[in-house]
Amino acid sequence: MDSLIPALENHLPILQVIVPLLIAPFCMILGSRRLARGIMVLTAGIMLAITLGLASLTLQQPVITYDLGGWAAPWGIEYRVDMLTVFILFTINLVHMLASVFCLGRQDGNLGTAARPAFYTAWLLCIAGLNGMVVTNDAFNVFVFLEISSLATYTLISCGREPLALLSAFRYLVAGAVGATFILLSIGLLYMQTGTLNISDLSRVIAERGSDRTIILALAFFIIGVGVKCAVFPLHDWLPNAYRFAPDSVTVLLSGTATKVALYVLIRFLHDLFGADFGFAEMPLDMVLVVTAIFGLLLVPFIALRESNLKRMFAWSSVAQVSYIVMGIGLGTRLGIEAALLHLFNHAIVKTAIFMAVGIIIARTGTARIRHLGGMAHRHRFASCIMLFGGLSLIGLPGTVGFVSKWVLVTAVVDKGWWWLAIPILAGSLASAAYVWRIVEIMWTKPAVLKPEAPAARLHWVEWLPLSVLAGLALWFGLNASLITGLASSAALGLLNPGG
Amino acid sequence: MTNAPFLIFFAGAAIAMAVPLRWRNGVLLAVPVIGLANLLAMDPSQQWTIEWLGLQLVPFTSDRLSFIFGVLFHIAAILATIFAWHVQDRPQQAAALLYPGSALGAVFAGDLLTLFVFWECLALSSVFFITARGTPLAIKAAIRYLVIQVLSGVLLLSGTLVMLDHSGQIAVGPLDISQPGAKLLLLAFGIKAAFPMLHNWLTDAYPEATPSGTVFLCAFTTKVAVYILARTFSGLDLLIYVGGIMACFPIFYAVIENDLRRVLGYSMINQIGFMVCGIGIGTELAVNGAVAHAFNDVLFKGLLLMSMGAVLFRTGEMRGSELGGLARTMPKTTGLCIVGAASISAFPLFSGFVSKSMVMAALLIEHHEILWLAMLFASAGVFHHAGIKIPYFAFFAHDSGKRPDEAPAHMLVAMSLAAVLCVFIGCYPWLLYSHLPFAVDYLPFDIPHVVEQLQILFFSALAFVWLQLSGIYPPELRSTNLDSEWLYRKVCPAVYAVYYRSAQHARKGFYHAVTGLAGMLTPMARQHSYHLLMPWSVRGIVMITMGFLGIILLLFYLYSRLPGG
Repeated sequence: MDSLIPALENHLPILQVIVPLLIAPFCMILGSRRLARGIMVLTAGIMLAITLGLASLTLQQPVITYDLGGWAAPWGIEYRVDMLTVFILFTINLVHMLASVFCLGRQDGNLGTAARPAFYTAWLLCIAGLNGMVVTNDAFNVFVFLEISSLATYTLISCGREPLALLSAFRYLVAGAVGATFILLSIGLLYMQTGTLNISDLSRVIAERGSDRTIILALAFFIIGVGVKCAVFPLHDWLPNAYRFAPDSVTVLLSGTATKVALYVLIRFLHDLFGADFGFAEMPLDMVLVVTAIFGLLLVPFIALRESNLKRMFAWSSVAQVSYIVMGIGLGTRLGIEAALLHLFNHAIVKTAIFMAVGIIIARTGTARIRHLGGMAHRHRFASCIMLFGGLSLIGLPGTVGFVSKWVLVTAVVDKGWWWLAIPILAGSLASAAYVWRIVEIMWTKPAVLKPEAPAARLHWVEWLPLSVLAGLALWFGLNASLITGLASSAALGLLNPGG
Repeated sequence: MTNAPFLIFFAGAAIAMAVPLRWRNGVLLAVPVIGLANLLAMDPSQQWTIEWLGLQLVPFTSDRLSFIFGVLFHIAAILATIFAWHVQDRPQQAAALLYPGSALGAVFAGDLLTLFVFWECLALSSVFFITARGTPLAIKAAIRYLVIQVLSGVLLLSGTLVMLDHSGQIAVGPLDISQPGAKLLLLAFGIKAAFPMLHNWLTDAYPEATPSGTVFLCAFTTKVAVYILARTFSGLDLLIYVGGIMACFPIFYAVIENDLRRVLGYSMINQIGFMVCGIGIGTELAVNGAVAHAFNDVLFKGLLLMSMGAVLFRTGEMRGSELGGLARTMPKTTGLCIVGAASISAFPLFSGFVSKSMVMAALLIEHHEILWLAMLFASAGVFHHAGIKIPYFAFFAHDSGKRPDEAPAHMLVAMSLAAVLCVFIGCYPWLLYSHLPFAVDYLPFDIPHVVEQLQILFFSALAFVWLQLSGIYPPELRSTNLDSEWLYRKVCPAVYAVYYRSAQHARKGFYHAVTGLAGMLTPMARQHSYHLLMPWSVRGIVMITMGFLGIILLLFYLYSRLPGG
């Protein structure tokens, strides 16, 4: 045993990916839904443990590299773990762990064919692909894992009970395929010009030979391709319906992981592969990202305000929140990335909590139409209160996590000298206050529209436990902001000064 | 061992919500009493600092100025809680502790960021007093109130950020108006202090609150603003004139207004005018006068609103045209109301006299004669609309035929306490004077002051009587008076509608531009038009993606052609 742990320790980067990848088929082979669900939660626990192990390793050694199969870096596939990687891994695996627990209680909710064991195989493949995108340091490998997670995601979305789930999954498939093709084109162009696929190596070669038109083309294709996966406005239109028609547990998982990993890839490629000088000094990338972000965070809340479906309204809100993160990335400064990472983490936990609460309410009332929700807050107190708390955090009220990240974002725009950007940020917050307040008003003050369902079903522990953990985390990080800001700041620093 | 006042109130609120209903009022009253004892026993020089995101925050600090406001807010909380003893709904009861607690947090805040947090808490906790009324009018007024209060918070935060970026200093202390960000802060404070043109939230929302809610509301929000103005912009000349306007213009509205609580709302702006003017003068005497007047205003305005609250509670009616003759069955309320009216009109030996005259004297010493005359006019106006109109139309005038019961015992107790304080301060002002921010060397009861004040009072009483008898006095009509609130009641929704339509057009335009472009290539795309909310077709998604790629490629191409690019 003593010799086993150090041996495992050296292989943690690959274990993070290979464990879910290898376990996934067993859910289907064993053929039992009950077993499959146990395996899923167990795997989620193991993955979180591996992430924590990686985190403790990065404390001793800022960058861990792992050569797959012993092939040295530029030729073999290399996995690379640094502070930023660990930050994202922790975010998605934490969300995955809680989403898995939440998923246990969903068998009779908004789930059609999802009860089949294959659902859990797709679930594990999805999260394996996402983890792979984070740890790998190989551009082509990123594409491969992107495809693995995307295909699994389309399957998961199509498991929704309503017939339109299939259509939504198909629309996402088309949009996602276009995005993935663009990313592949971009990687292909890069390979053509440099002859290498390793990200660190690519960055070195690009810095040496300077940029040319092919690399500019690669950057443009990459931005669009990854923009689709991030749901950057106006490439977002797959997202609202995909979230709306997916099974509740899948919405919970996707909102906290899928777009977040795509945003991570955006940060990683812009800074580590293309290099900040190329993207932000030679090319007007800051302008492109910031302008799209402004449109996103000003227009989308007004769409959310007119939305008639609760789940899709919060999906629209996700699009708006992604705009804040993109704005942080678009600034290109250390503070900007710090703000983006903070908002990424905050939004992951808050939106996961919100979608869980929404899922609980939908499962109890059987409707997600906003006008049917009159007076629901008094019937489903716990879920409504968490939803309200999450909503306040979306607005960015002081004391919530949302305030911390918006504060850092505003500091970042002022620091860059673009103080006028604070105006759309604050206006966007006010606009989000409008749509959150609309829900609060209907759920708390309007008379009930629907008859109360027979006996009010009590909350099962798989429902209230993950919800409480997320709300507790959101509250804790909102009040004790220094811990999470410290992490985000050192992750951003590690990205901009590798090795320093 | 002493504690920050706001912590006691917030913890008390949690306890009050946890205990059963029959204990809750006891907790609500015990908290401010304990808080007052804590404040009086407090080490005056203590300070807390915490580190947050690399900023040095001071969530709690204390000096003479914040101490006197602290005492005032505790007294106001005690009086209002006794008055609200009959209230049984949770939101109002929670707000009864959270709202004073936020105000106390704000006056003991040592930096602008902490102030901002409590500033927003004030807004959020107070809105329950308005929504609790439950009428559609009240709910709408509450939403307007909340929007404006939150806007003030956003301005405060923006100003803080600008200051932080510029000087790195966000301590609450004297500010120079030319400093970057200071104008934003002044605007934020001005909204809460009900500066002219920014005042409508007050006269809009306060009269719509519950009978006891208005008593709470009148004590805290505007007085926090007065405190912070005294702390930061003391001696700013602009404030003298702002104060002068504030003291004068509401009189005209107050005279024609029918809703008696709205009359008191206008009268509140008028009284704050005196305080703002004193702060603007900035001498020791003037600031002392402003602070003392804030102290007295809470008591006598509270007393007047309590008596009106009792009338509303008993009759359900607040329009002057529908009231009258209540003195027959509510004699005690009538008497207490008259004490409040005498105090606000600054009768000698009542509390208004000992503080208002300080501001007036300071105006003369600093040679602002014209403003002094304006303030004399305002003083006469106060007596006219608050001193005579309120008691006269509610309790005397034409007999409305209403025969309500006397106010409940707890209301009478609260009103009596306030009345005793008014008379006590009026007769023996030295206790109050000894706690003002600066040493006081001022004697209110000398012959010129007393004679001058009595002349004003008698001549304006004469004017009222003459106008009444000759029938020129504006009759009490059921009418709506147009104030500058139509700016946000009518203009803002119109602006939003235009914005929404243009945003819709912009999005459609973007879509049509892209599809139009594509339509030249593929004739199929032409026949479709899409609604704003409807999901785009699969083809639409791809078209947008391609269009966006095209834009970026064009942009990058142009940039790469730039010289040196």
